[in-house]
Amino acid sequence: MKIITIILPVALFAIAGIVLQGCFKDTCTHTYRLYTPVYGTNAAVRANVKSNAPQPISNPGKIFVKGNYIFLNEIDRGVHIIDNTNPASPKNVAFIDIPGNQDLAVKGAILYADLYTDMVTLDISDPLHAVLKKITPKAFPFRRYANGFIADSSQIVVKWLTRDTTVTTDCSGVSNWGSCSTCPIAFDLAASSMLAASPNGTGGSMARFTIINNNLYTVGDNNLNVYSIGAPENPFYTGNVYIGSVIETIYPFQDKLFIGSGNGMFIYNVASPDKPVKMGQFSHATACDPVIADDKYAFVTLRNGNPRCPATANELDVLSVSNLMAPVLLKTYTMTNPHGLSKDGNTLFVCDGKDGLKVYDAKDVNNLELASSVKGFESYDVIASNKLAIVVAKDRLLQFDYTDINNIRLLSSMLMEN
Amino acid sequence: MKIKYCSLILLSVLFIRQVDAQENKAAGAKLHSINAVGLINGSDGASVSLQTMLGLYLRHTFTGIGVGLDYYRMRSVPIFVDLRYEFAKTNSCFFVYADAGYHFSWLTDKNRVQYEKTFTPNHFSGSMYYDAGIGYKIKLPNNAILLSGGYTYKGFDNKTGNGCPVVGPCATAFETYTYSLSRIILKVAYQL
Repeated sequence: MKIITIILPVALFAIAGIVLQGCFKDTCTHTYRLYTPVYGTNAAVRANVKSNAPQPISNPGKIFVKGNYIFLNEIDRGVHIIDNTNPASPKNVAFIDIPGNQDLAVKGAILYADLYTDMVTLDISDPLHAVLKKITPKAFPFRRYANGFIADSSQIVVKWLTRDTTVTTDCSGVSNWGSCSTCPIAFDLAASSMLAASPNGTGGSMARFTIINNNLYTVGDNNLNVYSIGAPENPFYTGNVYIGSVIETIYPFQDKLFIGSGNGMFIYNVASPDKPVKMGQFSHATACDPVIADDKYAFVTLRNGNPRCPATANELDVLSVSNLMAPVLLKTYTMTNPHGLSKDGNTLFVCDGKDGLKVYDAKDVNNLELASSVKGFESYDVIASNKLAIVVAKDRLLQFDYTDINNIRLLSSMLMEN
Repeated sequence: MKIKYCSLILLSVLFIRQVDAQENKAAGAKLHSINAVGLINGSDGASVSLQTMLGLYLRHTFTGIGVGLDYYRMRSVPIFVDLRYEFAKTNSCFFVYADAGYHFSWLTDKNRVQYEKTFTPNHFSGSMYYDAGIGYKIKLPNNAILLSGGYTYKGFDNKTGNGCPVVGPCATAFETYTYSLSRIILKVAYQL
């Protein structure tokens, strides 16, 4: 009886399990945003590449400062022109419509920007009335869309219509290479950068364009490309150099280019402007790394959280570049999630992601002293010059007076619509 | 995180082994633990679950809290309230049970390969967890063996980004994969 008491229920449950297993099924759904491109004709788009009415700032990218104006990239859409005559009260005064724009650089009164694969050259002697001077086609052939989308080459995508959609899908897992061929997005895999063009203006450390003298240098996925801008309104391509993989940023110092990549920093000599020559490199674990430099040191931030360059480190590396052929790591400082950085004299500014802006006394690079820390925003890039620090954050553009680096003072905060 | 979960389960088991059933002076409630191994069966095949519960028996009912491991599709840690009703007090008998709570995702490396999208952020979140069924209690002199079968549910979301520029927020668009997993579960448990 006791045995029956045990066996019978076991048998009943086993039978029930076998019989009922087909009654229950897993259900899985996939919710995604479907992007549908809106095209404009080449002629119409190009006719609109000029200063137009100001647009709200919603998705800021690179930043460039020239004189009293801030040129702020709106990712994939164009350039905001901000009158910064009074940093305490900046005014968004115009917008240059450039579909696909992610990078910009300025030399004198000429602005260079990307329009997807093309380069546009604009006269900005009057920023409120910028005029298109030249289009250089196929200047950036590495620009492409995600998820395998191929645009109609006879037209230009000017914006995207979005619609959220939910479909039933199988539960076996996700595709690793874009699971939705019908939902291309406007994100271009080659992320843009700012131009750091001295002495005509100042760009940030996240740049992918830069100007030295009469040459414009741009980085693609693997290459360093050279354009002559001796005649500023008429840039033309002169050559390229293979650098490596996952090239991210470029920063000029004197006749050197410091190039950040996913697994290291490269130093190129452009004493022969058309023929950059590699001098040295510093390797690091795979990470995203903006870099800036002065005559003795290079400052590189490494961060994780970006699947394009996975890393475990979040840090600031200080390198000695006294011997450009062999940069040497001097010290590593742990950070939260550092992005762009800037330096003015002995003051180092680091955008530390969700930890805001950090300002260091860098007289002794082996012992950086945190002078100020401003939190409450997620910072991406900074330009610091003449006691004014301009910070691009996730949802705002901030400006600080750093006359006293121990007590930097917020001058203005332009909120964005995102 | 791994050590925390394992410690929690181990501590629960050890605690039970050391504690004798105690009388609640006011209502005659007794403290018991139930430790179960389960076979989960669903459209993805068979998998395993482990559960440990600690609670009070009062007359015909058991009320307790439990924690477990559920390996079906994606590994997760359910934390739940367990309620049972027995149809007899002293002899072997049938019972019904119901569990409700929340489960936390705890993906294995194999889970990540299967369910994470590469080159983009992934954010897994758990959801409500349910388990209900009937069982048979085989009474032993001081303990019992519990056999049960029922329906169990857990769900997951994976919110992934699309695109991660060098400058700017790390995802410009999101996709969400929602998993609603309905299973049969057969359990063998040892009640202390």
